[in-house]
Amino acid sequence: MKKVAVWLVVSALVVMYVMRAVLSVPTGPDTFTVVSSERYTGGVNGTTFVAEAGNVTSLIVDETFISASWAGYYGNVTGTIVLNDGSNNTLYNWKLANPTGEIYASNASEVTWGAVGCVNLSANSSSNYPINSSSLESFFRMNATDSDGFNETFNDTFTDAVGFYVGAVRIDSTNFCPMLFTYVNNAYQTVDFKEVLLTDNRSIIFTALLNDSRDNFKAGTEPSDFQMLVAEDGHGSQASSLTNYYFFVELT
Amino acid sequence: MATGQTGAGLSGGLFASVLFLIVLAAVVYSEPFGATITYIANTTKGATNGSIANYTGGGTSSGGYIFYTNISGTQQNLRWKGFVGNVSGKLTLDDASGNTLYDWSIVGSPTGEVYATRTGGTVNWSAIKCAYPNATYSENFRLNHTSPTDNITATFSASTNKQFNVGTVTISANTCNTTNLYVNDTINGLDTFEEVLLYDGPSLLLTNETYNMSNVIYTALIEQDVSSFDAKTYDFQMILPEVGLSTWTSSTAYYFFIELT
Repeated sequence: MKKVAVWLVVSALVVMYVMRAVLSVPTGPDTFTVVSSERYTGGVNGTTFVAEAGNVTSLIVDETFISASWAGYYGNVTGTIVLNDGSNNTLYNWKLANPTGEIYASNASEVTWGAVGCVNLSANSSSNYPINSSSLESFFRMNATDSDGFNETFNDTFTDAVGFYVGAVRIDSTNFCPMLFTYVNNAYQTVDFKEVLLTDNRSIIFTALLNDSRDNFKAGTEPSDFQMLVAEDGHGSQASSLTNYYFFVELT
Repeated sequence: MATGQTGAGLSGGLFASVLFLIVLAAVVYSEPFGATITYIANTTKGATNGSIANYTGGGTSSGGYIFYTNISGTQQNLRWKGFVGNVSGKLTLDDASGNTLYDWSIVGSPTGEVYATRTGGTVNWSAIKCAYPNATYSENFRLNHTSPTDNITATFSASTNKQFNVGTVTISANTCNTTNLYVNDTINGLDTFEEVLLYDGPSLLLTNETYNMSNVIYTALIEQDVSSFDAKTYDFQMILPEVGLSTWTSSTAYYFFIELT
């Protein structure tokens, strides 16, 4: 239609504004698929040793025991960032080719993300620090002398000055977060697969920083985006019970 | 338009000269116009609950087990914001004080463009053109859009725009950085709801300082009551970049213009 060269007045322009989220917080994943589970079974047969009568034989016995206090998760993450309305209709989306961000596993279904901070494992129990090494090991029925307790497992400190965000909360080297590195190629390493210990003062939040298809704990070349440990009470009568974990993801 | 009441040549000539001035004034302003906006509502994706994992490893506990899991996540993008809605308008013949000599209601759904830019000053509409790559890179820099996944360059990655006019300037088809907003919650295969990157800077590739003085103008081509991202019908949809910093909690203002045909 030919334009009319006259004053143009728009009497009303009705706009519905799809607003950015006021708060960016970790969110439940769209899918969480367990592909497999496995556990080391060790040697089922005993090891024989022949000793002659009258001899005193010294032995060094080395054995690998399965931890009853921890379970592991590893795998891959795919992600999409979207501009959706409240009914989850998509105005536009962007596929994440190499997702970065974090995976969170909390023992609470609801987390107060705005109150998240690092666990102070060495803090004395008080109303200000209800989550510490003592309370955690008590909750998961670990003995203070166990070799696979919380202090022994999260035995490193997060020292990345750049850090990462949990929603709007920044975690960096100034927080002195307890940290561990899970293994790569069946060996200890200090480059990839960091996991830190966070809390909202009500729940424990195991937090794995995503890596982009890095060689994982298995021998040989097998890439994964994340690896993490979560505590479990697999002791005594509790060996027949489960600790529920709620997984959240935050992609950047 | 002119009445037949001329009579003396003098009065007829006077009327003709007055009419000419009005038309002349209107020709000067034959370009996008500041829009009147009525805000209706805003909405965003709600947070979803965590996914519960209470798997055993074949026994009755998970202790000692390693679980291989694949996770997919959807994250609301805080580096962009969207605007959708309808356009109505009228054509009018006004003087400089806004007094109306005559006006016409637009029959049916209007066509044209909705423009949005961050400049609070004057847009040089006569110099409008497709945004050069350097202008887009500069826009990424100014808004801290550092992610190669969803920065402005990656979002407006096509060059499939329809031909349209901005004032007296013709924007040729398939020449500008373009994207299409979604329809019915899915990728748009109908080539509707186009959004195009324009800018009003100089033709030559000059220094970054010059680009900072120019304006990127996000341009949505108006549709006519077309099914949109949420299966409702809107006349336009557009997305605009927000500041890309993780710590950003404010809102970047955009100035809207409109041109109807």
